[in-house]
Amino acid sequence: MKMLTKFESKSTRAKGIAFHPSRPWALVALFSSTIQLWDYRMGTLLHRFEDHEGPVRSVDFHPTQPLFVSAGDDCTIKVWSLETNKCLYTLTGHLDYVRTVFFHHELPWIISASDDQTIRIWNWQNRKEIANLIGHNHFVMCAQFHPTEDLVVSASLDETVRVWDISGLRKKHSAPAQSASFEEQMSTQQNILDGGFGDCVVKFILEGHTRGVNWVSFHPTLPLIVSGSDDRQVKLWRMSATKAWEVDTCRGHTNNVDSVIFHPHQNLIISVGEDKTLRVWDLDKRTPVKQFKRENDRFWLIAAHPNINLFGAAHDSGVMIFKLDRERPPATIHQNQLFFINKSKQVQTFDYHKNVASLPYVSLKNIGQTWNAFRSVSYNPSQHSVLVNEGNDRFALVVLPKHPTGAADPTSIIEDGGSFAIFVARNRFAVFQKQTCSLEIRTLENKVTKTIKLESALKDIVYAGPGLVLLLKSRGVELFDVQQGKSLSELSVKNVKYVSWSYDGQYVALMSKHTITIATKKLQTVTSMHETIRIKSAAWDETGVLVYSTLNHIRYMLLNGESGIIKTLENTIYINKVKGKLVYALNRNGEMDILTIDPTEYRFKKALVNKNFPEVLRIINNSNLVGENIISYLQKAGYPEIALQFVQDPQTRFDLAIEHGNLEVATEEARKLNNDTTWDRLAQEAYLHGDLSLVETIYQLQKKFDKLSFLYLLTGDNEKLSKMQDIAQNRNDISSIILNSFYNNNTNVRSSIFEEAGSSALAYAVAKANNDEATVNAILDASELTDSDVVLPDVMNTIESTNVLSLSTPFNKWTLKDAELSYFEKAVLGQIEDLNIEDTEANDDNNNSTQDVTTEFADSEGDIFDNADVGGADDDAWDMGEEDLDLGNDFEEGQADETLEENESEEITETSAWIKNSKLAGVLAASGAFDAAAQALNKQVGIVNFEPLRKNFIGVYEGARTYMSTTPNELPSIKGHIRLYEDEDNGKDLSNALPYIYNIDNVTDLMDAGFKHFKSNKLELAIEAFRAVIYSVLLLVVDTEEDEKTAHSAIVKAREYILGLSIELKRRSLPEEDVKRNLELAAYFTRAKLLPAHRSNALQVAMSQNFKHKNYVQASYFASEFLKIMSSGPRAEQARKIKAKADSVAHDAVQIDFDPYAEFDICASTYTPIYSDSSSVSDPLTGAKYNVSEKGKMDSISLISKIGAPSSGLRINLTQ
Amino acid sequence: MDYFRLKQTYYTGEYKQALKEIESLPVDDTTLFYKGLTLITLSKYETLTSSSTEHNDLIESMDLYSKFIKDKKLIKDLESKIELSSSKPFQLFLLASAKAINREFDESLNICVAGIDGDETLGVPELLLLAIEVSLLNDQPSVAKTMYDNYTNNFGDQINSENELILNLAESYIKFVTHKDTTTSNFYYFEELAQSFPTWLTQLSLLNLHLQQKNVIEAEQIISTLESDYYSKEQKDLAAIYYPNLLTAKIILSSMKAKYDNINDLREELKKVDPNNSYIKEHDQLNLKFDEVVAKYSSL
Repeated sequence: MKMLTKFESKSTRAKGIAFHPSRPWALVALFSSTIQLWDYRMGTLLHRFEDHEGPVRSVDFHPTQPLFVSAGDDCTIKVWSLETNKCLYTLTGHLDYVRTVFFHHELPWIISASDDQTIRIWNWQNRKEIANLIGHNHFVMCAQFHPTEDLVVSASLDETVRVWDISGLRKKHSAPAQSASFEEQMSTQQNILDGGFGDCVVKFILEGHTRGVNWVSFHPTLPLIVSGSDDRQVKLWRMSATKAWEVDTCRGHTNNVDSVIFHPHQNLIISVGEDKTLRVWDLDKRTPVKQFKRENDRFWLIAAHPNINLFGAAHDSGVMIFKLDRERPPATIHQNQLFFINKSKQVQTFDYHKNVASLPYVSLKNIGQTWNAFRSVSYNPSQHSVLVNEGNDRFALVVLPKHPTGAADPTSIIEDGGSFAIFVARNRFAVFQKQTCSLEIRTLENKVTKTIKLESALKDIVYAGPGLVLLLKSRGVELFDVQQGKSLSELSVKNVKYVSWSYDGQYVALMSKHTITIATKKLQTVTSMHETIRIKSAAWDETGVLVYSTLNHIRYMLLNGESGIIKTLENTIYINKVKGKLVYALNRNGEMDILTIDPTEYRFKKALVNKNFPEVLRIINNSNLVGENIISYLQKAGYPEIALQFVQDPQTRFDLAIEHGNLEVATEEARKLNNDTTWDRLAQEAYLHGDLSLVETIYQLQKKFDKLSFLYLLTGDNEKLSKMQDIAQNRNDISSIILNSFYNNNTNVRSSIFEEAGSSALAYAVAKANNDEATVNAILDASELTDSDVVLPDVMNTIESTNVLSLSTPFNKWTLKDAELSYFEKAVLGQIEDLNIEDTEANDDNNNSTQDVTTEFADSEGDIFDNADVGGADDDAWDMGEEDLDLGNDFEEGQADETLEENESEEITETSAWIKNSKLAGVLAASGAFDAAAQALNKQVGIVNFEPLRKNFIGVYEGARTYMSTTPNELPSIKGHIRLYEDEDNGKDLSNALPYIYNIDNVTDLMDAGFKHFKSNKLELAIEAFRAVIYSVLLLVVDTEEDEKTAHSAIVKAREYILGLSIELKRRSLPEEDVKRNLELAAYFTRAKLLPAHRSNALQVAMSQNFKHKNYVQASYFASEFLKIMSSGPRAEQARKIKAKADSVAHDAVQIDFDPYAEFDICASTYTPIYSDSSSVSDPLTGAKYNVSEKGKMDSISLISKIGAPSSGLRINLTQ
Repeated sequence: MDYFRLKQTYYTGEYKQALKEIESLPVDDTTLFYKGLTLITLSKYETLTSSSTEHNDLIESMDLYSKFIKDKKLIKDLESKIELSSSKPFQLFLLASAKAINREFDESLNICVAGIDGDETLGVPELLLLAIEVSLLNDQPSVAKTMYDNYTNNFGDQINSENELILNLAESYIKFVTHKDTTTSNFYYFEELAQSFPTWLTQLSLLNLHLQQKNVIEAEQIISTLESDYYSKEQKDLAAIYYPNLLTAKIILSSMKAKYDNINDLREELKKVDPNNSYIKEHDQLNLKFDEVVAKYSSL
């Protein structure tokens, strides 16, 4: 047993501690009069409550309400609100120190024990004292309610423990108020005056302690009581309905025992005392199990968390929160199974395919020490045994029975000293010896075969591949080859506790309490990250993303160090596997939890990091990836144009468009927003882009006349500038007229404005300076002055000339080099195929060619419309996009209409959820959306003949449903759906619902059936079977790249067999006299890429046919090829003879079109060679090669696809 | 009166035992109702008898229901006999059941609701079960769930064990359709039933739960159990009743493995033994739908 400290606070003497039932909070009552509220998970002090005068001795949280109660030496009981952090009210009545205070578990009651020798019960709702339990004749040190019954237990310095029956009190206070008669009410009041004697009666007085009793607790479920006393003893008492008696005494404390409790879940007693120790006792044997000592602090109180395995102890210098022993169930993965040890120390397995746990194989209860949790387990598949590290530097090698039949004792156990025992080979395990600091390699009989001296002590040993281990040390991790006994590499990373290897074994995650370091398999750091909350476990998903758990979250981490939250957790879990959307984790009860997560965010980020834009686009189109976070992430990551895809909000779209420099979108959004700030910002941006016509439009919209004038001045648009002059005059805006007169150099207007404004002097000066004699004279006449009467300033000179603008035609738009459109802009513009369906991941060649074609088309269109209105051209481009989007809508609706199971109600049905969650052809077919599935297959692999796929389509539909018999039996059966994944949300959440469709193993079975027919020379049946393989792959749904690869290679394999067998069938049907063709076809048959064992048949045919028809050179060649595959046996013997004979003649009687050394394909239709220098076409589904003349015909391999049809590639992987 | 054993045997498909239980109970509406349904299921119904005239209405309704089962056009007689406002829940059950058999689910549900909301309590749990089945058949699992919740919330403390077993069955149907507790409690429920009362009905139900969990091997084991002499020969009458369900399960199982070789034979067999089977009807519809796909692309 180990004390694992989770939190410690430093303060003055702490007298009380209480745990919040659901939040990670603890109240600490201090002798200094303060109450502290701590978040013990984060280690932060949340609040201090200061209202008590004098020491606070006890605190308790309400089990459900946001309340707590406290009591202390000021004789008061205070009830506090956790919402306002204020004292709600104070209960007074006690006449001396109040020692303990507790809430009732269900009634609105509080119980308090005081030095005034009373125990009082209070109703905290009406704030009244409802009972006063008198009987003790010294200080009452502790009083508590029974967890389920109407009992109270109290401890007093009068050396007794008393059990009180308070059922009368409940009866009285739970009776409906209106039914109480006047007499009853009177008697109730009298009762309270009498101290509640009638309602609370002493049931038992337990005598046995020889000094004052400080603490007493009820057992949570059994009729047991435990008490602690100044006589340094812990006593255990048992009670029945009628009597109570002392059971036993636990002796060991060397000073007063101040507090003692039962372990809430295990048969243990925990006591603390002034001897500075915390002691754990075996409840059944009453023997000491373990003791923990503090150097300088006396313990005052021990409390257990009501729900989780945590304890708190108050002592002289603060509190400590700890748990007793580890709760992590030891577990290890072997292939598809998790071997783990459950809470009852039984070995079980969990099957990840079937999602079920097995019965226990064995019980390990009798191994190691009773109260010690096991540390780790390692599994050996060849011996079917486990190595269990007992946690006390001992290990046990336990052979498991063949089948799990229940928790029987193991029949074969080897126990020995040593730590971190782990299997390193089929018949070897490694174990660390602390004393000698050496690593021992032992046989399964526990004999040491090798001892390797290590330089420093180890913290743990972890498997790192066959013959390799990772040695975890306090300052580093070492990759160690146990066979050669040498270190391969080392990484300096501190205190690594747990390790998780990626699926492909390329990366390893090294976890310490607060740090995750990802390293390569050679221990080179890839990235490292710090976590504030404690890291508990991790596992990699199939795509190389690390999914890890902290105390309260499931999070992810990418290889570039990016991380984020996936899910919040209520309880701590230990992740052991991540498969698609499922996270498998053991909980602290040693049971498997299967959690469904949404991997979209990290897959999205990963795709972005890897610049896998088709994937990014697919995720955007198919998921609900929204939210501020992702947008700000995209902005930060430098992808505002992608962020644009997510948002509807005009302001955000506007901001993103400005950031991305997309003025079209910005304008569109500005129109929606239509406010000055937005327009100003857009105008400014347009200026920067040199898009002056946009600036003009904005100013026109805003009616910013002066700015427009300035713009026209800037662009040299004199015509519009003079119009602005007119407008200013029409508006009668003097300052604007003057401004425009400057821009237009219109002195007439300017001087007349001055004149009209009564400033003849200014008007004169303007006219004079510009040599406008007529105006000058007019002004002088009007003023009855002469030239000589006017004295102009000395600086005044007449203007001889003005600079004329050099632009002949107005300037409109700054010419910018066209930026290449980003992938996403192309997508939006409809330049990338299949935006709306899942076919985005067309193979590169196809994608490129599509893009090229689109670009060429756009160019030619540009030429044609060169002189056309630019806006119109833009509109056209957008129209293209909208057309595509419309198509998408139709498509979706089409699907919904299509499924057979849609009903008129508005409920989201299972099948509509399936379609929503995936657009793979298999899912669509299983949902009944046959047309959509067909459309997908047509686009992906050019299928046009669907009849042969009838049973496959209907099969996946019917294989995803099951029918429950009803009662009465005459009713139709109730249809249920079969899902690919069972989700932990229990069907509430349809976001992961997908239909079950047969798996890759079933495809392999079909392939095997084909091989079987091949072997038995039933070639027609074999061809049919191989076609069934191709058909089945079309609707297959997989969730790993490996399965996807296998499926694609199954198509290729099936194609080769169909081609080879068709050639052979053709050969067999030839008339006997057609020797040349016969020999050619026999030769071509050998070119099909069959398995070697099968190819030998083809070679044998070719060899014998050629030999028979005296084509000895060819026969010799085929014989040699045959012998490469099969070098012994009667068939090889025959080949050798043929070769010898053929070589001796070395002549071909018939010239055939077959060069064994040339590279060529065989046209799957005409069965003639296609040499590398001649052109050919392929079938989009099978990849079979054909002469160009066959283009547009049906593929003769699959009989369903069109040769040379455009295609984007078959999509069957759910995760891509 | 304690009808627990009667209901337990009836709902687990131990029909012969149910008839024996009825013999030991007095003649009343409940025993007559279950006797009628049991005999109809076993195709042995002629009529019911009672010394008291108070059961005449139920007996006449049961007679008409039995005729309807043989000829689905005869629903009109049942409709004219059973009135929504005045008939008892057991009678309403017969009419609602007939409607559901004819796939008139909305009407069936209305009849059930009228009975459940009525004053009479006898027969209401049976009607509730039917209502839940009908809602599920009508693709309205949330309606089924609401009805179940309403009833258990309102009468949770008054439900006795004989009715509790009916409600448990109803709940298990809802869970089956809504994928709740598929691998845990709902599976254990049927597993427990199949172990405690191994009958055709309970085995088929468990088989369905295995299919829903993709437990192919376990499903195959149950199929071979049901094809063993004990079930197929010694319980010939029950085998005849449930044979179509077994065939359906076999088709599903083959489809789950993409093994289509024997499926046509199985379908033909099913068509032969139960031409009106809902699975067959759905399959025919799928075929028609697929014809359209074939036609659409054949011109390309």
